[in-house]
Amino acid sequence: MDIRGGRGMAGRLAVMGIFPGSRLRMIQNGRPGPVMVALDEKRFGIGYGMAHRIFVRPVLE
Amino acid sequence: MAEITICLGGNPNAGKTTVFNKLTGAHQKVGNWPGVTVEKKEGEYAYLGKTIRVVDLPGTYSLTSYSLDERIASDFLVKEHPDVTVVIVDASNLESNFYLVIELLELGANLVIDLNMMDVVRHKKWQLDVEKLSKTLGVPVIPTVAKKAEGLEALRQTIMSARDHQPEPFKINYGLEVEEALGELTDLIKRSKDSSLYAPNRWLALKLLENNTQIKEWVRTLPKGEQIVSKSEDLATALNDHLGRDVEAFVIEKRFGFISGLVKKCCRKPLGVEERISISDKIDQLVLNRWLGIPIFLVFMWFTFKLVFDLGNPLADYIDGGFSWLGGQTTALLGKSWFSSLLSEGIIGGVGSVLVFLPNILILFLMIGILEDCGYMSRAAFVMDRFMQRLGLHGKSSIPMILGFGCNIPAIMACRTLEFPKDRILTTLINPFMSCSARLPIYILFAGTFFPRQTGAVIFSLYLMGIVVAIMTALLFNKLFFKGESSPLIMELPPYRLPTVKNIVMHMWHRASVFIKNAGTIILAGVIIIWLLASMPVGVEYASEQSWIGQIGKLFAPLFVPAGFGFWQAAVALMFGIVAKEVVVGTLGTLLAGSEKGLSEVLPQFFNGLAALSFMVMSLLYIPCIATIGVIRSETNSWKWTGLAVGWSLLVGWLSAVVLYQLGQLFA
Repeated sequence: MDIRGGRGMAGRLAVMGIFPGSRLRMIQNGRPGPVMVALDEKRFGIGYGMAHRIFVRPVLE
Repeated sequence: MAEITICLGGNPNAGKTTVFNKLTGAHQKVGNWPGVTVEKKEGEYAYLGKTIRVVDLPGTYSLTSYSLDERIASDFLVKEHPDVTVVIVDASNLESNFYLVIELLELGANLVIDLNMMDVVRHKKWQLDVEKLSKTLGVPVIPTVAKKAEGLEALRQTIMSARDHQPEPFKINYGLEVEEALGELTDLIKRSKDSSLYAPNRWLALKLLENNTQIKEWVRTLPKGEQIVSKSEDLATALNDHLGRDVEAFVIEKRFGFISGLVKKCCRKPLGVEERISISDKIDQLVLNRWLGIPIFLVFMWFTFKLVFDLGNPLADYIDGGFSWLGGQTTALLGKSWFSSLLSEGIIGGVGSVLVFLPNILILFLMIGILEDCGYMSRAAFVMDRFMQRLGLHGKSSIPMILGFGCNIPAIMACRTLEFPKDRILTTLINPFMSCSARLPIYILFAGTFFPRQTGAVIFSLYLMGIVVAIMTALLFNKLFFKGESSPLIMELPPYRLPTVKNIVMHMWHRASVFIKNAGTIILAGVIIIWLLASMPVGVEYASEQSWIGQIGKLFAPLFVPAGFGFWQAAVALMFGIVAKEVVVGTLGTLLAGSEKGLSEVLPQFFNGLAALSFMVMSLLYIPCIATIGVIRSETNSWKWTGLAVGWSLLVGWLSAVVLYQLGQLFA
């Protein structure tokens, strides 16, 4: 996972546990609305504008 | 006098409010953090003959400086230096919750960890080694289930004994390069630090490397502070090159790396899917559905308002009856005089016309409390995000907007949860168009009198109209003043859970007491001023055209002729609605019927149906009440924005009323 965004955005995500290397699970893709992702047990709503600057690589479970 | 000061920290959704309520019971007060209007809750409890003052910090994920809440929390921890810091951790989400814990440990806070929601952990059959956790971190760890008050006695006891405990600041090894830079900065800070900054040198150095703007400000105040800060920036740049990435992100990941090791060591999770989460996910598939999300949101809101009115109105009638009886008794007891008129019409009538709406307001805040506590409010923000983004707002802005239906004052205060100043200002400015509960009495009276069969529909469309005007205003102001910037949404969606009665009751009580306080002061004063103006000059017939109030009203009345209510009584009522919107009904009662009773019989002599509609529209939009204007001023910290809010709403209100009346006449 990689984040292309300003420092503020990357930092805000990082302290919630979302940073390069995190394993996210897409629960709901509301495109063009916000997406819902799972990080372990937690669920986050991420606005589309922000979500499309988060780049992920699929991981096989 | 409080002998021990403790503070509660924790992530949002970790159960902090529940712990706070259980610890302090009813001994709470709500105020503001100095200089800002984020709500500050404080409470007290007695334990072993000592009084313990509890300060509830805003819920945060970290001690960075991304949001105001985080700044407030670090500010309090460093500057006030509480005796004990209790951090509430959602034990079922150790990984993400522990980030704040690590930051607090690095800060050297005298920490007690409250591992909350242990019932969930047990249910999941995780094995959590509390002792090992405590030993590794060097601070006490207390497992609790706050909503069942389980483990709270142990927590109280530990807080007491932790008071004299002064832990060494916790150190994580950040690797050779970062440690070298840290060492250099720590030395520099050590040499120039005075007693004003009560924080470990290493922590300050670390925060400087993390590019924390708040800490930079603090360090700048030290002798040679400017040099230290610029040195830290040089070091950070060098590290960025060396690490090939932001040192800020690097440090955060190191902390998470440590946490992940810690959790692996102390917690064993059996394999298998988690049931509660999956139920929660299933509900979300429906509630957050692309097509159903917004209709479901609207249904929730509709249901809320049904309950507020259908349940609240009969109760309100009892209160109304009670106050009329009291007024009548007073007059009977004292005879007809100037004084008895002041007492029965001014004071008793004034208090009555406020308290009569308490049932509606209590139920409204009860519903908002339930929606917040069960986890739906953050879904509402999620569902509304796409829509709000189009208005140039944040999904979270929909929450203050919904709260605005209760009262604009707490709603505007809730805008502080928005990180970006632009969202805060815009959401604040449009909030007065969200029809607050104080405007409801006007609708109930007019819609009930003129549209007895469609009361609900008329009132609902007024609420909708408020929303539409708010949206148009947001679009316009965003274009005019913010060049259409947008702001990203990122928020946690907590698992759905059953709301706790205590939290909701406390929430309802806090909100209602804010309303009553306003009622007790501003509104009562407003009603008495009206009574005075209506009785002056001495000897004039009460509320007649010759009274002062009649004179002022006559001056303004011609303005309202094109809106269909161009008589002086309506103008006077609207003028006093600025004091507080609910005063409009009381004023009309006094002016048209001599008292609020029988007002609905008299109204049709003055208004026709169309004029009644246009009067309601005017009341909805025309100006925020004085208390709201005050809050807008304090929140935006600018008279310019405040003036804009007032002027714009006056213009929009008057124009809408006129256009509605004129168009209506055209078609009728």
